Formats: sequence, C-alpha cells, structure tokens
Amino acid sequence: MKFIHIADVHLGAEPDAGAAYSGRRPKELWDTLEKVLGVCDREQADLLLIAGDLFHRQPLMRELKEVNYLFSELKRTNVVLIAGNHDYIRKDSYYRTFRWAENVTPLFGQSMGYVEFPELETAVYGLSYHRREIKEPLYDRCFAQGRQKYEILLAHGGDDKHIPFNREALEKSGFDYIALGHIHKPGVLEENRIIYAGALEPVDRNDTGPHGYVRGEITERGVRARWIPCAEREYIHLTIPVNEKDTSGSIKKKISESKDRCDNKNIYKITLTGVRDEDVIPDTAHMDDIGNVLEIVDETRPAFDPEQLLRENRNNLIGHFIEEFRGCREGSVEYQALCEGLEALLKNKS
Amino acid sequence: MKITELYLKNFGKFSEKHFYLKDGIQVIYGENEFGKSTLHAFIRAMLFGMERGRGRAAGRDAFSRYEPWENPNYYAGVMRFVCGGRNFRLERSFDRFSRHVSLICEDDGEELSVEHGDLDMLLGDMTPSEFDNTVSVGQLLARPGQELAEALKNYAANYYETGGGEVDLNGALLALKERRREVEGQLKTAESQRADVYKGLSQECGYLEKDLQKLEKEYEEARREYENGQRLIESTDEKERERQPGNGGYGESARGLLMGGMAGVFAGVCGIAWACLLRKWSAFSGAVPVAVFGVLILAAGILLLAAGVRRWVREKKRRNEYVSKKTIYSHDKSRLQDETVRLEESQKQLRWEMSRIQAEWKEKHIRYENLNEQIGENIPGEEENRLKERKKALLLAEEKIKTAAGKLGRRTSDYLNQRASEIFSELTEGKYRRLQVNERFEISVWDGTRYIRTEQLSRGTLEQIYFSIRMSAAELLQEEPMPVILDDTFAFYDEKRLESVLKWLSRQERQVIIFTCHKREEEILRIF
Repeated sequence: MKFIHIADVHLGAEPDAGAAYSGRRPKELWDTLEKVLGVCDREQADLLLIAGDLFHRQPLMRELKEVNYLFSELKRTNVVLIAGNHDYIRKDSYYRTFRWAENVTPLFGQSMGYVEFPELETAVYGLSYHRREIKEPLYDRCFAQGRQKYEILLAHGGDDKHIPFNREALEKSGFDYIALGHIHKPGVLEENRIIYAGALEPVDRNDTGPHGYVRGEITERGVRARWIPCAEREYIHLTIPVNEKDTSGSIKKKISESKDRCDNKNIYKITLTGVRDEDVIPDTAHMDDIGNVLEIVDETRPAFDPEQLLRENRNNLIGHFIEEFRGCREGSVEYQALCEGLEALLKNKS
Repeated sequence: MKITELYLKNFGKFSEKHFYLKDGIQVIYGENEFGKSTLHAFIRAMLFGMERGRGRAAGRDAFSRYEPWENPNYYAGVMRFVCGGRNFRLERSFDRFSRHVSLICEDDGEELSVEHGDLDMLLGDMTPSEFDNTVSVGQLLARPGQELAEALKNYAANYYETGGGEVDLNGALLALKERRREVEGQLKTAESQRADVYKGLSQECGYLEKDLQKLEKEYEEARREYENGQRLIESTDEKERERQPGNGGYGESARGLLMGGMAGVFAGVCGIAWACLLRKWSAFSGAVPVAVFGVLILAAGILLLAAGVRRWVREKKRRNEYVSKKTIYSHDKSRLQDETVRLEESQKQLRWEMSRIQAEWKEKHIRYENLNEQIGENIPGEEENRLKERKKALLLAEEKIKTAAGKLGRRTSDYLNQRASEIFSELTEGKYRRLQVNERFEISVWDGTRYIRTEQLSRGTLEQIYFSIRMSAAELLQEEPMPVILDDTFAFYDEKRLESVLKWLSRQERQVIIFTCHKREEEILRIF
C-alpha cells in the first residue's frame, strides 16, 4: 500500500514573502498542492493522508469546491483528512455540511474515528479539532484496534495547547504509521514510523529550511517512508559577517552574492554581524536588490571592547558611562544602549 | 615626568637639532617663525605618536604640517625624559616607510614596548585630548562669532561633565538623537505599513458587512413574501373547503318522516279494521277505545306522511339547484387550481432564492470572520519590535550619558571649584576670592562683595580663569605631574598678573615649559 503524507498546507494564507513574491504567494500554496496530487497519480499512491490545517482559516465554500474538485480528479488515490487548529470545525463550518467526492473521507469527529479500506487492508484513524485549542493529550490513550492489517493514525498537534502527546505513548500505540501535522518543520520522531511531514510550503517567515511531503509504502516487510522536498520557496536566514573594511556598498554586494549562491527564488532574512568601521552605518533600507529580503537586522558594532575602554577612560565620561551599565547582559536593551552610547561618545572624542 | 632633551632629527623646519631642558620653569624664547609651535607639536608627537590622516583633511593635519622640509622620508626624533626616578629614551620615526617607535630605559638598558602600553603607563594613561585640555595650554580660543566668555563656559561645561573635556558631550547626545530620529522614522514607516494593511482589511470587512446586511434584508423580504404566499395558499384551501357543496342526496330526515308516516297510516288502518271485527264478533265493550286509538294513529301517520312529502319536495328542489351550482363550482375550481400552481411555483422559487441568499450570506460571513481573525493577527512584527527596542536603547543611552555626566560633573565641580578658586585667587593677588561654576556651567567670580559674570570680565581675566581651571584639572586627573606646556599663554596678562602666575608656577612640583615671543617672562624670572 503506497501513501503520500502531507500536512499544514494552509490554503488561503497570505505569507509575507517580500516585495517580489508576496503577491503570488497565496496561489503558490495551491500550485504546490496540485503538484503533490500529480505525484499521487504518478506514483500511483493508494492514500493521500492530510494531517490537518489544509486551510489556513475557515474554508470558504468556493475553496472547498476547488479542493474537492482537485481531489476528485485523482486517478486511484483515496484522500483521508482531518481538521487542525487553523481550520477547526466551527459551529458554522462548511466542513460540517460539505459533500465530498467519493474518494475523499474526512475524519471530522471530535473523538477518534476511523475509515477502513478493505481492498488496501488498511484502516486510518483520526479526529478533528472542534475548537482552536485542545490541551488534553487525546493521542496518549489511543491504540490501533486491529480492524485491518495495516493501521494508520492521522494526528495533528504536539505542543502544549494543541493535543500534547507523549512520544513513548505514540510509539507503543501499535499503529504502523503515524502521520503527524501542526509542527511546520519536518521531523522524524521514529524512523519510518512517526513523522511530521512539516508544512507543504513554508507559511511563516520563521519556517526556515526546506519543506515537502512524505512518500511511504507499507508492505509485509514493514513501512518505508521518505521525506521529499517540493516547496517552491524557502525562508533562509543568512548571517553575513562584516569587517572594518566593509562599506554600505560592499555589504550590499555581499548580501547579493550570498543570495545568488542560495538561489534567488528563496526569501531571506539577513543578519549583519561582526565589527565595522565606526563611520560606516549600513544603509539597510536599500540593500534588497531583488525584493526577496524580508528584513536586514544590523547587529554589527563598531570595533571596541568595553572592558578595555573602561580601563582607558576610568576618569572621564566614557568610563562613567560604561560603569552605568555594569553587569548588563549581551543582547539586552541595556547592552544595545551601551553600544549605541559608546559609539556616539567615541565618535565625539577629540 | 620631566623632559630632559628634545632631539629633532628631522621634523618640520628643524633638522639634527637638540634642545636640552631642565627642571622647573624653562622659557623657550623665540621670535615669530622661530618654530615654537613646531617644538610644541614635536612634544605631542613624541608622547602620542602621529599618523598621516585619511581623506581630505589629511592635507591640513599635523603630520603634513610638520613633514620635514627637506628629505621628507626621514621624519623622526628622540625625546629623553625622567619618570619615577628613571631615565628613558623615546625614539620615533613617523614616515611611512620606516615608521617605528622604541622606548628604552637608559638606567638598565631594558627595552620597553610602546605597543603593549608601557609608555601609557609612564604617562599615567593620559590621553592626547586630556593632554590638550590640561597641561598643553594655548590661548583661549573662541570660534568665529562666539564670545570668549561663551567659549570658556563651553569649555568648563564640557570639561566638568566629561571629565577631561576629551568628549564632546553635546555632540554625542546630538549623534544619539539623530540616530533615534532615524530609527523613529523607520518605525513610523513600519507602523504605517501595518496601518495600511489594517485599513485594507477593515475596508474589506466594511464592504462585507454592508453586503451581509443587504443579504439579510433581501432574505427578510423573500421570507415575508414567502410567508404571505403560504398564508394565501392556506386561505384558498379554506375557502375551497367552505365553498364545496354538500352531497346533494335526499336528507335522512325526509326519508324517515315518509317511512314513519307510512307506518302510522298502516297501523291506524289496521287498528280501525281490528275494532270493526271486534264489534261484529261480540258485543265486546273494548271495541270503542281500540277504534279511537286506531283513528288517532292513522291521523298521526297521515300527518307524518304529509310532513315527509313536504320535506321531500323541498329537498328535491334543492337538489336541482345543487346540480346547477356544481357546474359553476367546477368552473371556478379550475381557475383556482391554476392560481395555486402559479403560487406554489413562485413559492418554490422563493425557497430557492432564500437558500441562495443564505448560502451567499454564509460564504461572506465566513470570509468576514476570517478577515476579522486576520485583523487580530495584524500585530507588530519582529522588525517593528526590534525598532522599538532600538529606540528604547537609544533613549536609554542618552539618559545614561546625562546621568554619568551629571555625576561626573558634580564630583569634579566640587573639587575644581575649590582648587581653581585657590589658583585664581592667587593669580589675582586676592582680588577675586572665589571662582564658581554653577550647575548650568555659568562661571562667575566673587570679588568679596559681589559675583561678577564672565561677560563683564576682561580678556586677561578670562584667560586666567581658563588657566586656573586647566591647572586644577591637571592636578585632579594626573597622579604623575606632567610638564606644563604654555604656548604664548600669557600674551594678555599684565605685568602683575604675569608675575603672580610665574610665582605660582615656580612653586609647583612640575616642569614648566614656556614658549614665548616676549622677553618679559625671562626678565621676571631672573628677579626671582
């Protein structure tokens, strides 16, 4: 039995993707879903497992119709889906009344439900969110019931407010495969068995790294699951070291080159670190050449060492100023104030 | 520290020139163009080094000014000095190619390292600007357009609050303020971008709200229409039931009356006949009552029969009427049925319309709620928070600089007021007893009866205040008494004051080097 496992597609989201890509980003989420449906056909997958948050918010009727049409076009794949915390089944949710295509089975109950596919010798279990947050560890007490030869759990959550679970309990639950959703970063809790597919496309600026889906197969010999990247874009956080020789222009060039190396279709957050010439203040507002930079964080400091400065300036204002910040942690607002103040004082030192 | 020898190997206009200095007051007399400023600059360069500046300013900096007139690639000098009872020889070469510095203790031949701060230690960590602001005394210089008193005030303010005047306090605060403005500008942009998003979202929400209200109204209208339709259908049904005629057959009552009447007539006739028979057979006395009874029954029967006939006739008439009526009714009914069909058709359409409105309303409502959710999520992002933090840091930096300056100012001003007053009082031979600098750094002097503001003082007196503050600051800052270098400082002093200042200087535990183009210093000193 072959399956594809996806999660957190977040259709309808409008991810922040920089000036160049933000406009077309919502459409790309749909495109990538279609791409995965194409994979289902090509790979002749028997099941498409969607582990929650197919939609970013309450789905609209036209969106449901759209997605249902796409599912209905699948050649042989049956779709099983649950609702996650984002598209939870509200009282007025269309999920309650929507008539899905024949090959689509939602497991929209509040408590554990299942669907059997005798021809695949497979049963899929799952439950859906009927509220935004579920703090009860609902998955800790659920076990494979032995209805079919192969049993799969479709689960969404894993943090404190969204069905926290005990990993060991899941390992002992007896399911052949547990398709997890909610955490956007792909991750394996147990090799070939308990897997977060991660968001299909990154939807938040902090969803860094590659994104994709899980392709798996359950046979007599067990489960083989492989994670496959397929997202159109990636959020990449780049740290760019700056030194005393750099100028605004050379930093801009460095940023541009680093982006080129990582592919310009991606979306970047740039952090400038290191020491810089005290007269160079990077003009971060004009360093995005392509429009794929979300933010440039300037953490550079002019070259100085507070301890040494204190030794050299014990009697004057600089020394007294440094004394005012005795014991402040690096990275705190106080430390920032110390650096900013020192920079201003040193620059105005005759 | 005492300088014993200045050996200008090649520096400015001097080449291979030795100047030997002794302890106490050393007057270096020279006419204009002699090279007094060059010597002064040489001392500074030897103490702190000198590098070629960068950029456009380089053309006018000290390095270029004192670049040797001849053979500029040989740009070097030696200074000998005594410090802490030991003799040192400091040699520097300034030119680009052979730039180096060496410091040797001549007593034991130990080579010290300038790079590792050995010279700084000997100088008591004195910085170049501290040197410029204390022991290296020129004339009080006002910026063009600035009053001398103002310049003095600025000097004192900056001096007191920055502990040596090497930091331009206001400049630093201004730089911080400028940066804060910049950050505030960026923050404003970020906030307005977010406000634009909010505006866009709430505008769409507003449109949706209007649409929803319109749909609700439409639905209400359709519902009312539908209910009216239903009521119409119900009332037609009722009317039809009312209008429907009875079965039109003979009434049970007429039939009963006829049957009863006939039975009565029959019973009466039978009774009378029975009475006749009784009379014939015997003279039975009971025959008469029987006959009377028979007649009575007969009469009743006849009466009933008559009533029956009457009712039958009436009902027959009504039946005829019904038949004619029924034809009218069936005609009516087909018309009514058409109407009902039409009505029901429109009701069906209304029902369809209502569910369409409902569906549209729900779609829009869900979109509306999703948008509201999105508005709720439109909170300051990372960038905005970072900018806010940066603004906070800049404000804090400003505040802390002021606090530090205040503390430093109080600490130094107490001391300086006292010590500078002593010096100033001595210079003026007690004419002024006290020098006072208030918290706004306004300087005034006490002549025993009143405070006089600096604006009212002569240039010479201002110079003396300047000198007093510098000297007291030097005492405050430098543990090791550094040589005082006075470069044409006394030009505005009168004879009396010059005498006082020289007297005061001669009592100090430090070397004093006076550069002058007048002979009077030497003359006064000769008298001592």
